[in-house]
Amino acid sequence: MITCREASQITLQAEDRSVPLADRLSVRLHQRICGNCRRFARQVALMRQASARWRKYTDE
Amino acid sequence: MNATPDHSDYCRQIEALRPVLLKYARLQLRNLAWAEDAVSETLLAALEKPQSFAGNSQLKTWLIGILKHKLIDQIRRNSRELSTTAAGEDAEDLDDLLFTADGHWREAQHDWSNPEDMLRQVDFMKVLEACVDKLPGQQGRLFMMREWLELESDEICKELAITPTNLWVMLHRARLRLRDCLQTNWFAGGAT
Repeated sequence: MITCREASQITLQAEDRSVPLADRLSVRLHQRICGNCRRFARQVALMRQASARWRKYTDE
Repeated sequence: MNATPDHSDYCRQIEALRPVLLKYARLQLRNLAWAEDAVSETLLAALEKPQSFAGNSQLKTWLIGILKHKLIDQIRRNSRELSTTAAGEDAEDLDDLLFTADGHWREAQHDWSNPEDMLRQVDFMKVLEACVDKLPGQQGRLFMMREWLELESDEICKELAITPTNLWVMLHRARLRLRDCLQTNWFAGGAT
């Protein structure tokens, strides 16, 4: 089982590169039993949405 | 070019947008002189080719589009200096603050409430901008290239002559910092 530190690292990397399937699966497995990493992943997803919204906001 | 009332009105409207263009140019380049150059080039391009402004989009949208190209030009022109000034900056490892030695979170992570209209709030956008502004120079530059200029990772590496690993380390740090800043300045206060 990967650690929270490793899981968060892979979650962040996925924002900027394609992450191998094996890594994605181990994060998913980890998140099933780890609320902190689930919440972290949701924070990262919300930041992605926020960036998209911000791009629109800057040129409106 | 003729000095019809229409034309001077157009010049005034363009000039009025200078401050907002400069704000984003600085956020991207982290260097006032380069930012001013990019903005001047943008305004000049707009003044020289008013006919290319279609008029069916907003003037600001059009100018920001030109500015983004000029910013990439500036990054190219100054890429050598950009890569050398970045060395040694921000060696602090946020991960060590977040995780114990055996890789567990030191603190519980928070649920970020996301009401329907949060992302539409100007206040949230202002906090986000302030947080991006607070990123250390090179981290902020790379984050902006990725998220605002929407460049692919390999394009960024090529323009700045940095390795993919270096880029990912810097973006990793930038995203953790941004997360921390949003947590402190928005989500912790329940300001929604």
